[in-house]
Order: sequence, then C-alpha cells, then structure tokens
Amino acid sequence: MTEMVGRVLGTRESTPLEFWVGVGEGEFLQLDDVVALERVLPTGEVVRMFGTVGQVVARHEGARFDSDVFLIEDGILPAEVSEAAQVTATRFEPEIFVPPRPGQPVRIAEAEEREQALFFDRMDRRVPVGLARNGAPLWVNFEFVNGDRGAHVNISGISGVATKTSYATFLLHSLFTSGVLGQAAINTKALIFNVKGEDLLHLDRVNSRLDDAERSRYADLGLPSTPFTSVGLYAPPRIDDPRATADVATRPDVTSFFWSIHEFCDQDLLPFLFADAEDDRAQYTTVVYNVMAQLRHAEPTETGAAVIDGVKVRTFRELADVITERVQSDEHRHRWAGPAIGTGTINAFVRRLQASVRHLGRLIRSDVPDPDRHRIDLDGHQVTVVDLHNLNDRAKRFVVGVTLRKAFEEKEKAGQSEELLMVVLDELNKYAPREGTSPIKEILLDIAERGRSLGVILFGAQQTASEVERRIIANSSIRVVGRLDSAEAAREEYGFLPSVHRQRATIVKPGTMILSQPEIPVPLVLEFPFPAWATRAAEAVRPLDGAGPKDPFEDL
Amino acid sequence: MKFTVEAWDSDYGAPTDPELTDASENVDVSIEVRSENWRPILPDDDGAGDILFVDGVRRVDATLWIDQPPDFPAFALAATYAAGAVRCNGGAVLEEFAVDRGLFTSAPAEDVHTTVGTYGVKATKGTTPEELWLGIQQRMGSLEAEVTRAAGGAELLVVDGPLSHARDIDNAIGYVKTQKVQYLPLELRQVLTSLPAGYRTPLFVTTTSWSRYSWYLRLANHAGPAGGLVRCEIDADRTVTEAARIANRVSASLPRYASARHKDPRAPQNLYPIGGLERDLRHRLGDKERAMRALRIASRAVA
Repeated sequence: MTEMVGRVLGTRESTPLEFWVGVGEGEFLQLDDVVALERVLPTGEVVRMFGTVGQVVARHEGARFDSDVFLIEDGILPAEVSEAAQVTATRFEPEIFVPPRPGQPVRIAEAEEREQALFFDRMDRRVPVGLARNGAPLWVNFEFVNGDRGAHVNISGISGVATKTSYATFLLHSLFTSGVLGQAAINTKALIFNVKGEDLLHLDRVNSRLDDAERSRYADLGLPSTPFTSVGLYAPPRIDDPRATADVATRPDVTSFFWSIHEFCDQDLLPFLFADAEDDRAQYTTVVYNVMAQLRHAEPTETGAAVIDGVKVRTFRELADVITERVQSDEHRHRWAGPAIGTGTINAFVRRLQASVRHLGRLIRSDVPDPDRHRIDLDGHQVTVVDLHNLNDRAKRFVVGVTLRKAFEEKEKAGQSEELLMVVLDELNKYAPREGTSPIKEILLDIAERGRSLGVILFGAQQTASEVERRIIANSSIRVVGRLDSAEAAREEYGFLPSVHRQRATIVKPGTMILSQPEIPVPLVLEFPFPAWATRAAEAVRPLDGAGPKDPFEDL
Repeated sequence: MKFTVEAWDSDYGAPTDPELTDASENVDVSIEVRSENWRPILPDDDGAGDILFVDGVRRVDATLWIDQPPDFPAFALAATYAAGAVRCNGGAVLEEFAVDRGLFTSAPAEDVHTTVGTYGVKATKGTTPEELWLGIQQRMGSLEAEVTRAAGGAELLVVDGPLSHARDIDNAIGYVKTQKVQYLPLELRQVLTSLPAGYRTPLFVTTTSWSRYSWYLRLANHAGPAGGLVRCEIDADRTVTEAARIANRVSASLPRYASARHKDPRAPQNLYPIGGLERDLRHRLGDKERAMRALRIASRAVA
C-alpha cells in the first residue's frame, strides 16, 4: 500500500461518482492518476473506492484579488498554494455507493489496486491497448472486441496526425501477438483497406526508425516489437497496362486485383458502381436492378469473360457498351431497363455507367490470363491489405463494397464466429455517411449489427464521427479518440467523453489516444508505441527475406 | 463647500478620532531635534529584510447569563480570540498562531466545555460590557505576546496596536493605525499635516505608566486629515541615536507593505501582511454559528 497523497476535501461536495482530493504537502497528483481509498461504514463493513484523476487545480488560498499574486510572490501578503484533484469514481468494492467522507486519506493505486480500479482484474481475456503516462499497460476486455459481449472498434481523429490507422494496426498487432486469441489466432484474419499513400503496404517490414526505447515499450506491453509476419498485398492494376501489374511505386511484390466480367455479372456487382450519395436519390435505381438481373444470365467462358445475349464481352468497356445498347434499343429496353422507364432515366443511367468505365475498366476485366491469381484471397495470409489510394471515390466504394460483401457472405456461410475477421476501414464517412442509403452502407450496417455474431469485427475510423451513420458508431463497443478539432469535440457523438477529456482531445499529441470501453466508466488516456513495422518505404529495413524484386519473366 | 472623503470604510470609523484627546503636556518633542527645527525626515535606510508582523483577532460567540440565585443572573461573554505572526523575509509565511477561548465575567463561574472547545473562565475587573470587552482585549494582547515570543526574533517586530504587551521583546515596534490622542503641541501640527509620503516626524517621548519613543509616518498619500498616517512607538529604554536609527529603519520598511485602497477598507494603514493575517486568523476562529450552537447544547447539558 502506498503512502497518502492527499485527503478528500470537505469544501466541495463529495459524491459516490465524483469527489475532490486536497493534495498533501510535498505530493502531487496528475491527470489520469489512479487513486484508492477506504471508508468504514457504521456497520463495520469496509467499502473500497477507486477512481481516476480527471482534473487538477492549484490556487492561492488567502488571495482575493488577481493582483494579490504579485504581493504574495513579493513576500508581502501571506498565502498558501493549494492543489486539489477532481476524482471520478471508477469502482466501489463492494458496491455500496456511499460518498467518501471529507478528510479520508487517499493514496495512489498501484499494482493490484490499479488493476482493480480499472477493472483489469475482472478481464479474463484482455488485450494490451497502450501504456498509461506512468508506463503501466492498459487493457481492453477482449469480450468486448470478439463479439461475446460486444464488438467493433471505432476511431475518430483529425487527419494529418496520422494516428488513426497507426493505432488500428497497433491494435491488430496486439490482438495477433498478445496470445489473447489462443488457438483461434491461426485462422483469425484481418482485412485492411489502405486509403492513404502506400503507408500500409510495408506492414511486413521492420521499421528502421524503431529504437530501443520504443522496443522496451513493446516489451512493457508484453508484445514483440516485430512487423506483421503474414501479409498479403493487393493493389489495383495500372491503367492501360495489358499485363495488369500492380499500380504500386514502392515495392514490386504486390498482387494486382480485379474482377472478371463473369464474376461481375454473376455476383450482382453492378449496384456497387452506383453507390454515391447522389445515386441514392436518382430515379435509375430500378434500371440498375433490372440490368443486374439480366446480367445474371451471362454465360462464363474459360478466361472469365462472359457471353451476354450471344455477345462475348472481355472488357468493362465492352460490357458497358452492351448494356448501353440493350437499355437503349427499342427491342430490348423493356426487358433490360424495365417497363415504363423514361428515356431520361435510362440516359442518366447510361451516363453514369459510361463515366465509370474510365475508373473501373482496370478493375473489371477478362483480358488477362490466369484471373484467379488476381482475386483478393483473404485466407492466404493473416493480414490482407487492399490498396485503394490510387482509385477515385466511385472505384473505392466499388472495391470496398464488393470485398466486404464477399467476406461477409463467406463468414455467414461458415457460421463460425470463433475465428475472427477484422476489417480496418478508414474514411468510414465515405462508405457509411449519416444521410442516405447505399449498398455499401447496408453492408457496413450489416457488419455493425450482425457481424458480432458472425465474427466480423469492424475497426472503423473517420475524421468526424458526427458524419458517420449513428448505428455504426452505436454498435462499436470500443471507441477511440485521437486529436479532435474543438468544434467536433463538442458534438454529442463524443458524449462518452467527460468534458475534461473532450478538452484534452483537442490537444493530444500524435501517439496519444483516449479510449472508452463499456466496463470502465472513465475513458483511458493512453500512448501507443511507434510502429514496429514500416509505415512508408523509406522506413523499411531492406532487403527482407523473400521480399526482393519479383522475377520479371514470371508472367511470360 | 469643500470636503474630503475619508479613505477608510465608514464601518471601521475613521483613522483619526474627531475629538482627539490632547496629551501634549506629557510629551517631550525636543529630543531628536529642537521643536523649532521640526521638519519631515526622509529615513536614510534600506529597510529591514526580515520583519515579523503580529496581530490578533477576537470575536464574541455568545452572551451568557450565569445563574446566581436568588440574585439576578450575572453577565458574561463567551469569546474566541486568536493571535498570529507572519514573517516577511522574501516570502510571507504564517509562522506562529494560537487560538483560545474564554468565558469573561466578574462573577464566580466554571469552565464551559463544548464540542468546539473549552471556554475557560477569565475573570474581569468589572461587570459592564465595556469592562468585559477590555478583558478580552487584554487576553488577546497576552496571546499576541506569547505568539511573538514563540515566533523567535526578527530584525523588526511589528505589533499591531500599542506596544504595551510586547515592550520587553527585542526589536518590538508598536504600530498604531488610529489616532485618538493628540500628542503634538499646536505649533508642530503643521509638520504632521504636511508630512510627505515616506517621511517621518522627528521622535518625541510620551510618558504614561511607562515611557516610549514615538513618531508619525506617512505611508502613502490618502485623503482625510490622517490619510496614510500612522504612529509608531518603541520602548524608551535606549539612546536617542539608537531610537532614531530604529525609527529610520521602520519608516523605510513599512511603506512597501501599505495596502491599496480597493483591497482593504482600512487602506493604507492596514498593512498587507496584517490584513492577510487577520483573514487567516478569523478563519481559524471557526464558525460562529457552530460555536453558538455548541454553547447552547452545553447550557442544556448542565441543566
């Protein structure tokens, strides 16, 4: 048991939820300190109380005017400096909610007491999520991640501070390497969408900037300071490249991904081309679904191309042209576009479709041999990174929507929730905006609401939670906040943060996050270590085993 | 009509009594300089670096009636008083303090034990309220002297009020904020009223039951006939040269501690350390309502 740092104040109200502590002479309390105290009830029963410091104030006692500070410092007016800390209660043991009495001694909770104060002792399966200011690990109850009692992680924070994806990847690293997954670790997979630069295409490479201090922080968390060991990398093919090599500048061993024309037809992928907010309001949704139904009749060929109404289609341009011709021709319009559809609506649909050719052409094609090799395979590696950063918004939505739907459907079929699929998706506001509906938003909502029981865990991130569909945020058990701009921090979406934490969210530095989890009534302010994996090409230690240049003649 | 507004808050009266008692007969004004050479003196001194300010506060918690059948009950005052010392030597720190309670009466009485403390019987000379108040004042004075002794020495030791209780303590200076007595003969009063800020008058000796050196000092320019004026006194048990040296040192030291008008209702005479000390001591007297309640409970317990 540590020594007393102060006593409960009697000049401010002391409640079971919040009380103030006068800091003793020669002692100090800082934000996020964990404290403990006891109260003996008249019955003789001892109630142990725990809490965290949310605010600390220092003032001159004996001064009445602001200018008194000068008199006091000049040694003219007698006064004392007093420090008081506001403590938010976290736990009562047993749960008898009486206020602490003024004058009761308060001590810093360390070791076991700290674990109790933050409910870490009750977490049978726990994941390290960062370090407290004093270097002690902070944990999250895995049962609120894996779907047992809750699932999903949501991360908010302004961009440019580049901590949202860093933190999401750190969480993945922690989940994979802390041992919390047990046997299921082997078949637990992660799917990461890379939206910015080629940042996440080096997850499997050692970070040359990782120093010993950072390594020891990993050690403090009980985690290895190693990069991800099993990473599959996918990127879109280069535009107009007949060999469909991946459009990546910083490493050669990335597989390009695309869908065959037949897959596009057979798997009902057309609606994912029309997933913009404006598409939602447009009249042509009926046309989209009618065309989709027609495309189902496409016959496959050996190369993945499709035969539609007797026409062989090998590229997306050809496909778009066939569809255009069918919806516009008097002969086929009734069947393809639907009955009683106006020419204006059909033209609007055609305009959209044709406009998407330029961006989607490289992603939907059957002009490359061995198309199976270019299918995104989530089972091949522990972590699969799908690069989106070179795609425009329409193409991004298509890739995210189609990939997520496939992953979700496979999980549904497997009906196995023990082996998790963790999906990391930044810019959630683009895919599941607060207003409107789209096929992608439907899938994300499905994941948010049903993914928990299927073992699909969403690690969503966005700059501003206020712009994301409420139900997705509401279904996230773990909420993390990095730096917020002050107007955003004031919004109700961050109601889980006490006002002091909201203020702090506007000033936290990169590498610091505020994390809220259902079991602990106060958010934890944590720091996470510098990534052990390269976050850009320049950081990567090279050469890596097997990561050398690919055989340039392989495709020949 | 031309008039001046007194700087002191009217709740505290005025720093100068409108009818000063003339005591100039018992005063010798020609000890430092001859009376015809009386001029304001600018103290030639850097000021003391280590000053102890001593003050006390008092409060009547309740008026008691002590049964003494068959006679009419006797009058008594239950009072709490405190004294403290602040040392100013770079920082201003409350160095010593004491709180005491007393049952002031001239009638036979017993100590009253309450939940806030014991009111010990302190016999007074007479039965009138004024005499009881004087009793409290004297006890508080002794407590101040006790605190002063406990605080240890200092270069200067400024006692709030006349020196009476502390005159045997080294370096003690009586600091009198309000002028009730006119010590100077009429012809020298012009020196007093025209005294510039930071200047003192020459020394004069007054004798009552004991002799003391005394001088006036203007702390700061404030409105009113005694604006910023205070009188200091030290024991006459020393040479004039020595007394003048002390007067210079004190007069050079104190203006720095003079309070600003918006910060103290008795500015500038109520010095900052003393004002702060009084607030602190009043706080240490405890809650008056609670003392009153404790006395009521105690009165029932005896019955």
